Amino acid sequence: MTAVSLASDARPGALPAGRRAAILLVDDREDGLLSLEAALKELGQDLVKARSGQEALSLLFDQDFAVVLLDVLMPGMDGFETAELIRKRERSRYTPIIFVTAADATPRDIARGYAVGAVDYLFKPFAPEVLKAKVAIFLELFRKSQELQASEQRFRTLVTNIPGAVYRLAAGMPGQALFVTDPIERISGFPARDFLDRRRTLLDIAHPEDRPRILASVEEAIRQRKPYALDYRILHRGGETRWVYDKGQAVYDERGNARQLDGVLFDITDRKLAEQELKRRTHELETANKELDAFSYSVSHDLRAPLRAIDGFSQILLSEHGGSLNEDARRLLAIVRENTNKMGQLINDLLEFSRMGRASVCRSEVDLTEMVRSVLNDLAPTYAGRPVELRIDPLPSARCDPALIRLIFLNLLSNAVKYTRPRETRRIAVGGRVDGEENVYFVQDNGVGFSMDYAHKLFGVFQRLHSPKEFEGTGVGLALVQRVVHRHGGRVWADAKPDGGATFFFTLPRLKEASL
Amino acid sequence: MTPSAEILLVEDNPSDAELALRALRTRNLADRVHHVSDGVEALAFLAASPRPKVVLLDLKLPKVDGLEVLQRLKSDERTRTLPVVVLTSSREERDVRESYERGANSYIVKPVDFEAFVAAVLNSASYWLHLNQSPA
Repeated sequence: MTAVSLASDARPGALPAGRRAAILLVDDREDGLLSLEAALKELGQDLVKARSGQEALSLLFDQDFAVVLLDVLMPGMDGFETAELIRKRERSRYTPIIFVTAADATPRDIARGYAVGAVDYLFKPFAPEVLKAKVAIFLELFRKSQELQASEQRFRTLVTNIPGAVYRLAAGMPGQALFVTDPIERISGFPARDFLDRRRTLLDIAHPEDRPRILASVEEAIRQRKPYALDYRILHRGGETRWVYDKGQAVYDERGNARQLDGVLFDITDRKLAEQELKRRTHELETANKELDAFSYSVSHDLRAPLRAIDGFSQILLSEHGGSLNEDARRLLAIVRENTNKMGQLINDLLEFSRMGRASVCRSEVDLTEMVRSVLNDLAPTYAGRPVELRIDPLPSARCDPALIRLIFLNLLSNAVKYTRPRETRRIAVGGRVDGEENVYFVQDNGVGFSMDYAHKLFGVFQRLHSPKEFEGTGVGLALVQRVVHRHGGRVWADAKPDGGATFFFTLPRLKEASL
Repeated sequence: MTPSAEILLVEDNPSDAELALRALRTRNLADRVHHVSDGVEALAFLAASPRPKVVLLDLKLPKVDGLEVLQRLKSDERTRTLPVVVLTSSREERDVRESYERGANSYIVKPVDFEAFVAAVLNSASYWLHLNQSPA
């Protein structure tokens, strides 16, 4: 049922204008029927005639009538007996009956008529106008009641079509169900009538451990005059535990006391299981990540001590026994020391990388143009002999961790310095722009570049695209850059050509102060 | 035993200990050092001997670790004012913070490079022996 059809259905006069109501005329005499018919013809309704009480009853069995005009004096079953039987039947219990009787009816007869359920009396001979007016009133009543029924039916359909269990509970414990729709059976395994018959309450099917929480939430909501909404477990008839989402609110009486709770229960078991699975996996990943970091930290850490011994003792050997060693022995020892230093650098970088995975991100508004200048200032000694043409465009400022972002520029710029070394004219450009929800920054050089075939390896730890003979390095720098960018919620990528320079891009999300 | 030791070196790694002692020897400070290899020995030495001018304390030690030695020294009335220099391989912020919170007077990360290591040990030793003034 769509909102559109609901709206059109809700117009007054649900009974189609063309459809006529039926009026039952009961009289054993043809002239009686004819005079009734003549009086009511103008109303334009279906006039159904019965010539006995039996015939009237059998017609009432199949059809609803707006009103019954019933002659009192009939052979066999008289009007009173007929009226009693009409009243006994479910379908016609409330059908209005107007008795038509002779003018000489005694007050006792009239009293009896009302006792068996007459709504009115009409004395023969009647004025057709009066009869018409009386019947018109009942016709109007009938229409109204039909409309009401149709409207009720519409809303009932609407409520029962909702795929959750719509309920109304008596406020106060144990929350007896006054109304509950059929989906409760799919959710709990118990049919709706179990709840309506007081065999169990909605609280009975809730998981015992969750009941105190449910009660507390509902009580708190009532206290605050607010709706309640919560997830909890229920025990399905079949034995398994299912999750429901329960949202509702109390209905208050004129004195402000909660009388009822109206709400809906939805089965959210599938969603809940998916959430739990996601949580479990996230937790596993976090644990694995932490273990990995702890491992790499402890490995790097414990590797430093023996390295210091190798370096220290070979140095002592050289300084204290250098005289008794020949040229070649001294050269070999120098190689030992050189490699020790390389390994030391590697361990330092690995430690830095590991630390980066654990460091918390402390954001503040950072002037990145200023930061780039300061980093280049620090790097100046590394390119002092061979000046570099620098172009620094203004960079949009960002909310980021200055110490971490500094590492990005330090690594990207020292790479740019390193890989432009073979160039006659070394050029490095830095810049950035605002692009929607993020800032995009770049560091560009005219250095040796690389083939995009290897771009996927660029940001991996210990991945190198050049031999140590060409360019020194441990292969941690860009991995570090990527880690810092990711920790800030940004992206990093590169564009390059062999011998055609390289451009590294990274983004930082534009954050408002409040979202930190 | 070096009863009149001015420096107590607490170091479990024999290589690091020897490198440190050799470094100190270059300034003729070796005979003013007493070396112990774990926290228990360090505490025993300090309980029984005249107090040194400085303790060079490694953090990763067998039995009683460096942080606990530091904690005990700084919470004992008799050793509370004794300067303790943490000399360790750890650059961990957590270790630096913990050490200072427990009252360390200095924190030095052992450099891997031997020359830098020698310089660190000698600079520290000469500062605490010659420049610094501690209460008696």
